[in-house]
Amino acid sequence: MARRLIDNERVIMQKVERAEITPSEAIRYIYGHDQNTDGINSLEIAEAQKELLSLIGLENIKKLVEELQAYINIQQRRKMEGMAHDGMTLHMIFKGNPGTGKTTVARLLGKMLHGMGLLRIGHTVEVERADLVGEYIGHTAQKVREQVKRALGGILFIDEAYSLSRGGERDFGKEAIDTLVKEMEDNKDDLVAILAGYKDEMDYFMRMNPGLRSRFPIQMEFRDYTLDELVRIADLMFDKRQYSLLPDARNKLYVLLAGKQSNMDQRMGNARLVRNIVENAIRKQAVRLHKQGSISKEDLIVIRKEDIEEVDV
Amino acid sequence: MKTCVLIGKPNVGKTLLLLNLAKFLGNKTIKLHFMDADGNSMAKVYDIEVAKRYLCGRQPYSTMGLQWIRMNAGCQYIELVDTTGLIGDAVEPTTLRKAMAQTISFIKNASLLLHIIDATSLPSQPLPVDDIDVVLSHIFGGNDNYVMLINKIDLVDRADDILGKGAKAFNVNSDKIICVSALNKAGFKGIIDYINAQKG
Repeated sequence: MARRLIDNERVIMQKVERAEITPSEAIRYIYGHDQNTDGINSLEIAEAQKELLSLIGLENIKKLVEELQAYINIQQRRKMEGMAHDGMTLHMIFKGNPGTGKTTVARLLGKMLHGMGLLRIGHTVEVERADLVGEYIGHTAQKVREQVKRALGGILFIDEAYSLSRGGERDFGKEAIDTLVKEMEDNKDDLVAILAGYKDEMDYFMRMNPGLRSRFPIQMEFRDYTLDELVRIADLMFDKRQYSLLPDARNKLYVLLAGKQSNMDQRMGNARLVRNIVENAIRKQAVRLHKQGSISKEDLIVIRKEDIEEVDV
Repeated sequence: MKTCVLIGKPNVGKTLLLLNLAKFLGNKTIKLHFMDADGNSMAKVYDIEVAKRYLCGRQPYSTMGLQWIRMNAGCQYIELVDTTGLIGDAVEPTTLRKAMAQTISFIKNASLLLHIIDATSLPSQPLPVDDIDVVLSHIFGGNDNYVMLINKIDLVDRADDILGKGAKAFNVNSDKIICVSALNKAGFKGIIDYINAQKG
């Protein structure tokens, strides 16, 4: 048995002890047939999958990831059987408003691709224009190469990628794109690049840089969360932190989010807005309890209507 | 020495099978080795009948850890290992999960895996894929060193085709299934023959 499997086994046993996985899953992970395929870590894949499925909403993304997984699996099998197979270009475009889950999904994909043996490390390096574009000639290429080097074996996630083609002809953004494309070619088996940003801006960006389209064959569109999804996200956030919303507090949250949504400000930040409201509510509750005389165990858990208030994103 | 490992759900009769197999092979007293999930071990000599009273329970999870007897199986010495009953879902308390983890991890040491199924609860409907018996038979059922023992046949109707039912329910080749009764020692010769026929 390979050494990797033995290390893996210890981790799996700890997970059984902590009730994070069931005995059935443990047996499958340790003795299951897919473990015999070198480099594939079904536990890691399953974990990433589980985490992805536990995310609220994102139904189209979940489906796309499943398709992607199936595609990779089959290409790997074909390769093993010595058949013709795709070289598998896995660079992606993520389109969507802030707070719609792009970074979260990128991180999970890193983990998943690592589990599938396609990325050496599976980490995600998040960068934006300022990390890539330099101030003088030659500086930009050097900066891009540096970031690519950090991301090798994992995912290079470029947020607001469209801003690279901002600033016109004499801007170094163009140089950043060119260097990035070259680096992607040079490291094609060791890097997945994700360009992310608002839908309209990204569409325009891709039209302006037609050469990029074929290099980024996978496109995922992150839709805004619905009101119900946002409230469920808030509930989950409170739950994870061991707090609980009273019904009238949830109503207030609902009304507050509805107001934000009807303002049609698509840049209000979706899940990020929710997180800010949740964190603010937790602080408000603490202040409220601090002023109160005796505090019961229930008081510590309950979030009341007055704790929920509007915050800036 | 061959390591023959008894695995299966709680209360399918693993411990009784261990002790009665020892008795079947001509032992009256046995030296029982025990190791708990933390790795502490001890050994004690028992009269088999006394051991049965102590160790075989009507409650599930009478065995928490590994316990084994070395014995002469006719033409060779074997080590017969009784394990913690496994179920598909996570259970309380932690000590029990720990004992299950120990058993799962121990499976890899088996030269022969004896998977015990309760004849009285053979499913007529397909079982869920995460059922522990489904997982065990699916993963190990094709291996040369696997045998399924359908126990408690003393409790079922003789006319019932237990072997066929088991083969169908778990998709295991019927020549890898032996119907036994840990209580009245039916089928024991078949088990010993199977062990001795194993290579290695």
